Amino acid sequence: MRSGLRRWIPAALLVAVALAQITLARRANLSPWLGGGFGMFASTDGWGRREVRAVAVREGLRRPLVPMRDAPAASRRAAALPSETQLRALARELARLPSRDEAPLRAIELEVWGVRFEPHTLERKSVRLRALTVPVDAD
Amino acid sequence: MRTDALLRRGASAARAVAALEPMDLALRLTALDLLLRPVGGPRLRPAFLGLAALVLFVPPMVRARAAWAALSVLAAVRLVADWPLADNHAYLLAYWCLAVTLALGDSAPREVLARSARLLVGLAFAFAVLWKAVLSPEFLDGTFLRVTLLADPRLDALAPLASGLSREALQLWRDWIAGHASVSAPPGPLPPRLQLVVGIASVWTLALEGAVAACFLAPARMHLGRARDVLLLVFCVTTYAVLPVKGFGWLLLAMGAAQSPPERRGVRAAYLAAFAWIALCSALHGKPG
Repeated sequence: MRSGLRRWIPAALLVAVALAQITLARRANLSPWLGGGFGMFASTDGWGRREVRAVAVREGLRRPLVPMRDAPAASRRAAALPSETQLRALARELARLPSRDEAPLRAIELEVWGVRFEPHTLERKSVRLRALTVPVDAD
Repeated sequence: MRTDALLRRGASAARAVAALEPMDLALRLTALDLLLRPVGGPRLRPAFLGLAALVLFVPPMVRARAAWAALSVLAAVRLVADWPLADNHAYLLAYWCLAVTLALGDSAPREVLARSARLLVGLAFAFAVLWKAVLSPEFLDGTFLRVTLLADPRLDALAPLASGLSREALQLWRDWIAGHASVSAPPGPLPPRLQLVVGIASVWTLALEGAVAACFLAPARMHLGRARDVLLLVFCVTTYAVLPVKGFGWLLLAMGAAQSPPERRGVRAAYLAAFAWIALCSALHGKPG
C-alpha cells in the first residue's frame, strides 16, 4: 500500500463515520453525544436524559413496564438511537419477561422521550422522539 | 537530601522520556492511557490491558505491528459491540490504533503517523466545532452551558464559582432542571455571573477548538507547526482541568506528541507534563473519566 493512502485511510474513516452520525442524529434522533460525530459537549440531548416508556398490551389489559430496570442494556440502546431495529430488540426482551398476567401478550408499545430546555428559564419540556408498537405474534 | 535525589531522578527520567522519538513517545503514551483508564467490557478489557502492558513494558513491542493491529481489531470490536453507546473517545482510539498499524507497515513510519495524527486531531476538532456552531443551536444560545454548569455533577466544584449562587440556591436550580415536582417555577432569573461565564466560555471554546482544527488541517507550507502544539496543549491543560474526561485528553496528547517536530524535545516534554497535569486534575476530581 502506498504511503499516501496509508495517511488518509484513518482520516477518511473518521469523516465517513462523522457524516453518518450527523445524518443519524438529524433523521433518526441518535444522541449527538454518541456515534463518532464529535457532538459531545454541544447539546443537552444526552441519552441519559432520555426516557423509554413501555406498555405490555394483553387481551383486555394494558400493563406499564419499567424498561430501564427490566432490560437496561436494550433500553439504553433504544434511548440513544430510537430506531426501529433498537426498539424491536427492546420489545423482544420485554416480551420474554415473566408476567403474572395470564392473558396472552399481543404487543409491546414503546415510546422514547427526550428533553428540551427553554433557553432563559431552563424549563424542561418532554418531546416524544419515537413511538412504535411491536406485535408480539408477528415478531 | 532524599527529596533532592528523588527530584533529580524524576527530572532525569522525564528528560529521557522527552528525548524519545516523537513516534515512540506517542505510542507509549497511548499504551499508558489504555493502562491508566482501561476500556472495553469484561471480555475485551483484559486483552486491551495485556496488549497495552506489552507495548509499554517490552521495548521491542512498542513498534510491533502485530500488537497495534490487534489493538485496532479490539477497538473496532468494541465499537460494534457497544453500538450505539460508544463515546467519541472509543472511535478516536480505533482510528488512532489503525493509523499506528498502517504507519508501522510503511518505510517512513514517523512521517506517515505524524500526518495521520494531524488529520485526526484536526478533523475531530472540526466536527466538534461544526456541532457547536451549526448543528446544535443549544450551544450558541447558551442553553447547553447554562444547564451543564448548573446541573452536571462533574462540574460540582465549579458551579458555585461560575454562578455566584449559594449551595441552597444551586440545589433549587438543579431540582428545577431535573424536573422535580418540588420546584414548580424557575427559582429566579438566571444569575448575571452565570450569563457572563457562559458567554466567555462559549466564545473561548469555539475560538480555541476552531483554531486547533485550522492549525492541524492547514498545509505544511503555512508554517503553523508551533501554533499547533501550543494550541493543543492549551486546550488540554485548560479543558481537562475542568472536565474529568482524562481518556480523551490523554489520547489527544499522544497524537499531539506523534506529530511534534523531532528536533523539538521541549515540545515533547510539554506534552508529557500535560499528560501528568491531566492525571493530577483527574485525581483531584476524584471521579472516573
